[in-house]
Amino acid sequence: MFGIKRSSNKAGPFEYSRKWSLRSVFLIGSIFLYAPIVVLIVFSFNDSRRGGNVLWKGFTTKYYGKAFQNDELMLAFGNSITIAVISTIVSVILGALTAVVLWRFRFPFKPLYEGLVALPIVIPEICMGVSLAMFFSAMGWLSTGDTAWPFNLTNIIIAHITFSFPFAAMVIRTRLQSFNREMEEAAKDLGASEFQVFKDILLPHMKPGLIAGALLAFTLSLDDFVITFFTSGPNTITFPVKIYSMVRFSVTPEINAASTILIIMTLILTFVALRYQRVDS
Amino acid sequence: MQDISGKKSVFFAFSAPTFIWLTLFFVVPLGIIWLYSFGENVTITKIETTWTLDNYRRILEPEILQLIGRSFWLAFVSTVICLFVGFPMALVIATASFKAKPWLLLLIMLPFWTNLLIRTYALLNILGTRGRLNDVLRWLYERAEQFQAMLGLERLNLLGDGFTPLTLLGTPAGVIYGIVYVSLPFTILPIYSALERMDNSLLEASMDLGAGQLQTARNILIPLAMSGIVTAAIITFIPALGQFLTPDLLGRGQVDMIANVIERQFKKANDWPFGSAISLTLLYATFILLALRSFYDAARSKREGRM
Amino acid sequence: MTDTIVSIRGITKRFGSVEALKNISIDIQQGEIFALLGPSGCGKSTLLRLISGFESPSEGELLLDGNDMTALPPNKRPINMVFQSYAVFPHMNVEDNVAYGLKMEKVPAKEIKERVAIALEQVHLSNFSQRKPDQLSGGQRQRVALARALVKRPRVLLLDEPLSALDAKLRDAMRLELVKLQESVGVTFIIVTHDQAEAMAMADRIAVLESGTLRQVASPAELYAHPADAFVADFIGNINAFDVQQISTIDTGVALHIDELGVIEWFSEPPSTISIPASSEDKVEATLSVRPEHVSISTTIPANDQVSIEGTLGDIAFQGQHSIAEIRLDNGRSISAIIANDQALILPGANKQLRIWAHWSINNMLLLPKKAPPL
Repeated sequence: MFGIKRSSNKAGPFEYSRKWSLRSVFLIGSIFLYAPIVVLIVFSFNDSRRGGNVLWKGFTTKYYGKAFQNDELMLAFGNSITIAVISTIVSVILGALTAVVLWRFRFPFKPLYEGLVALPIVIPEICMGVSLAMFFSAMGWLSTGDTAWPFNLTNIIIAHITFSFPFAAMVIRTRLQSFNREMEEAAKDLGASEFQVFKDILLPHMKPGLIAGALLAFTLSLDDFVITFFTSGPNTITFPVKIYSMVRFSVTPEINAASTILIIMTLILTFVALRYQRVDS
Repeated sequence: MQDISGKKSVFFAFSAPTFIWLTLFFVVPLGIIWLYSFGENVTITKIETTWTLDNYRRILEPEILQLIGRSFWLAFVSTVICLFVGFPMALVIATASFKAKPWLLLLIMLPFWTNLLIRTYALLNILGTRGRLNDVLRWLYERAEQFQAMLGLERLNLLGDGFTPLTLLGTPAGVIYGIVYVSLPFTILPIYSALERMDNSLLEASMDLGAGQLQTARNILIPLAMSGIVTAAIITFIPALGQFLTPDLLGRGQVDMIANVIERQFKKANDWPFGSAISLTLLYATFILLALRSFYDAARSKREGRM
Repeated sequence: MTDTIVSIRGITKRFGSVEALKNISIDIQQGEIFALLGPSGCGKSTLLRLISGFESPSEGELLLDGNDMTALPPNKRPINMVFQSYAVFPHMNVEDNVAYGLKMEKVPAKEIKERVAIALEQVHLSNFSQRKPDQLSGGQRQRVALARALVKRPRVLLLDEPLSALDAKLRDAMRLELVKLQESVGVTFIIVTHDQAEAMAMADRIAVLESGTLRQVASPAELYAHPADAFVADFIGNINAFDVQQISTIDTGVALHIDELGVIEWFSEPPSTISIPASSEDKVEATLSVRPEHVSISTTIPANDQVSIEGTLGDIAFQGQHSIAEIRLDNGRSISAIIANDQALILPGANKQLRIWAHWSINNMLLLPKKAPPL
């Protein structure tokens, strides 16, 4: 007799994610973030030689072929991967050491040490780029590309390690904070030595942090343009630097094709990372 | 946490590599440009530190000062836009269902993982006078025109004499669009994590006590998310201030910011001492902003009695 | 009734396909302490959120003083809530927290000051008005939440598990204080709790809920003495229940056939909620129960007028004022009896396998349906 029907689907007062006004802001924001990337990928298939970004002239995959046949672009791509791999390995090692030191020890000037490690994260990359460029020039370590691979990339690798290992350290330290010190004490109680504790207990616990740190370092290295732009020589360019010079010269679908390849690589990398994290947790 | 006494060898083995690396490849390079900023060009690549203040004096020239002012202004406007767009977006993610949340976060993070240069380049296609944004605007204009005709209001000529495409490339608006585009994920994440930690019953208590939606947002939601909002503002503003690619590609040399002047000194003008002086000025500005942020934190925790 | 303040009429609440509340109707009286009692997930919190306005019912309506308030948002209802987490605003001091609701009402500043001072006095927090919430103990934070709600002079105060976050000793003190406070301010309290002892100690009336249905609404004494069914009886205190296998009508009442106790003659009408099956083959959905405090134990065969059952003495748990003895029946089940400590002391330990008799008066037994139809 009191069967008055009332909708229970109305959003509660603080279910912001169910309010249409906020939802539309979110939707527009997402379109804003994704539209340029989608358009870039679509136009990489545009069959137009000049001003390839303006009018749609039909579907083609020939610019992918062109991108793959562009020796300079492929060399730059190879350089980028080489730099990313080497700088990731060193960054994870340095980052892990830094994280353990900051997590484990109490020592004089610790805030100073901590601040120093955090600085490369916060200072403008252009400052870091020019200071490293001046440093290499003052040392006479110029990237001429005369030395053998991969030593011709040393300057860029050093620069990349310097800005990526603090990020790796941050990620690894966060992971370490969830470590239960009683596990270490239990292991010692069961007769493990300091080194065995590190190898059998701490390192396995750090593993997800090490992998997350490595992925971050790898992406940062692949992504960097500004610092590389200042530390690379005429013959030691990376993929973003090459694309930059192509963009400055003229906008062609070939750039879109090359960019799409890098975007897809990043996507795959991200999903591998997510898959790994899911399996791990 | 333990003292290093008794474990000195372990401590030094672990801390020395980082310390040496940062000293050699971070502190020394910054030291070099610090010295250069007080130097004069002797030959084209040789600089002598004469402790002259000329390089800093040149920053005070109207042209450079105006450019620095513009950089601050562009970074500020971009940050404000990011906060206004980012806050509602963060709110949606923070209150989304348990299942949807990781996907929405991924949605925001994916562009962040995409190469910055490629993202900036992608905007060229969007922002041009014949670009996609103007296509959309033209489409909307035509629909509005049809609607106007349908209502029989042509004679009022509310829409002007036809569609004029927006000129964004080479204008401050285009640069701001670009900075917002590359910074938005950075703005969203700290706000999201502040909102995520918030206890929903605080909002309900506010409403239970008679506050409406907007009052609750103003009195409870925003004050409690404030530390996240401040972090978001700083984390957006600092990189925005040092932007090189956006003004370079989207500003087309018409809307230069600090980083573009720095680049010119090193790559074209070969005026390293002056370039170093501007770089350090940008660095100092960053430090001041970070210091303001920690002052804010200290004041806040003092106000809340958490010493 | 004329002094009904909140009237819950035919409320059903669905979340997707789950029915959290099924056709609930309750009238709550002006000035009483009313408890919503039930195990977790029974829907009591949902009902509280419906009354406060944070959820809207799928069906049914809510009346306040006879007026429909179903569509009113929480900020427009003269009803305030003390949240389970207290929800004291961490960025405001005690005074600002308490003043918040009055500011929202646009009460003049001078009056706010006076009323806040009185409210803080009532909860003994006058000396803490400038403190921030993180400088207060859990009990003090709860008082802030109480003062903050009461200062608005609500028609009804809702309390969501008000004592669950406090430690045992504080809980007892606070229980008493809440009752005293309610007496002095005269506001109707609706308390949600899963703790039957808390509900019994504080409430004038209790509504027992189970998986979204209302099982019984009664005073604590009534609930204890005349539970509607076996679920309520078990939830309000403990019971030793025996399944009734068969019921047959005899001149003086009914005969109950119980495996463990034999045939028991019940000299009165069984409750109407128990249906007496026509055939002896049909299953009977009834139990005969006795509370442990009515069970005595003895080492000799008890008198004839007592219901008794033989078993072995199990563990004896010392409880303070009394002890609880476990009696292991020969079919493997156990029943419990509350006995005096001095009796417990002379009994041997469980390993001694002492044969004993548990016995009680038939007048202390409860004949209950296993499940009464929901109200």
